[in-house]
Amino acid sequence: MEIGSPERQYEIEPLEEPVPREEPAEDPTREREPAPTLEPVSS
Amino acid sequence: MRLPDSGSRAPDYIDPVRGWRTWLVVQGHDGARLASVSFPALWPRRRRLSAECGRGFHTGAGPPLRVEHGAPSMDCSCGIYATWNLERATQIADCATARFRDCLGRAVLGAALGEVSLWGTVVQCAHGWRAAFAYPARIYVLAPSFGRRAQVATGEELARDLAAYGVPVEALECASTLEIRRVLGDERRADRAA
Repeated sequence: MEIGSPERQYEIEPLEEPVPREEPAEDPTREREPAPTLEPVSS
Repeated sequence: MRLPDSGSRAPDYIDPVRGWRTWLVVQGHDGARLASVSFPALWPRRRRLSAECGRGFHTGAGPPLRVEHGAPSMDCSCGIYATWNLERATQIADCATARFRDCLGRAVLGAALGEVSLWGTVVQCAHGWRAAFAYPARIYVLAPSFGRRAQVATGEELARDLAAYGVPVEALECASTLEIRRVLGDERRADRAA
């Protein structure tokens, strides 16, 4: 692509790179963690 | 007193530059991928593209730069290109779609135009930029009727595949560069007004 003569040079350091994060793939074989069992609270 | 040289310096800017560019859409192992038009490079999904200087692949007016250097350099023509001029980008798209049948040994399925984010070391030129790092920001898949060539897949099919880049992708049903400029020009005006 013809973009003409260079004029100046600078550094750009984004706080976060503009690259979408990998979407976590769902693993259907993974077992769900059992819900925590609640201990009876003594009053 | 002399401060120790840490080898790093503060950046000049923190916001990436946004420019226009054209891609070929090529057949990947797992769907359509973006590829550069004038340099054999596939654009990775969800990872930045990094520039390297292929010494000897000098396309500028001066003699090839013989010293090894980081890309881009003011004294070379290396780097990842983009232009601020939509008209220039659409002209490239017009040539690319008519000219290429395969790229990197892969079938060319079509062409795309879009906005790209550029960062790292950036060389600003008269009509655009050359940068060290890039990632697509918005992709417009060009219609099969554009560029007077038979496209293997429909714009919608390619757009679905290219959604894996994780950025907005749209099939553009335009048959000429004039129509593309009108449609995208209207979109940009609407974005600015919003």
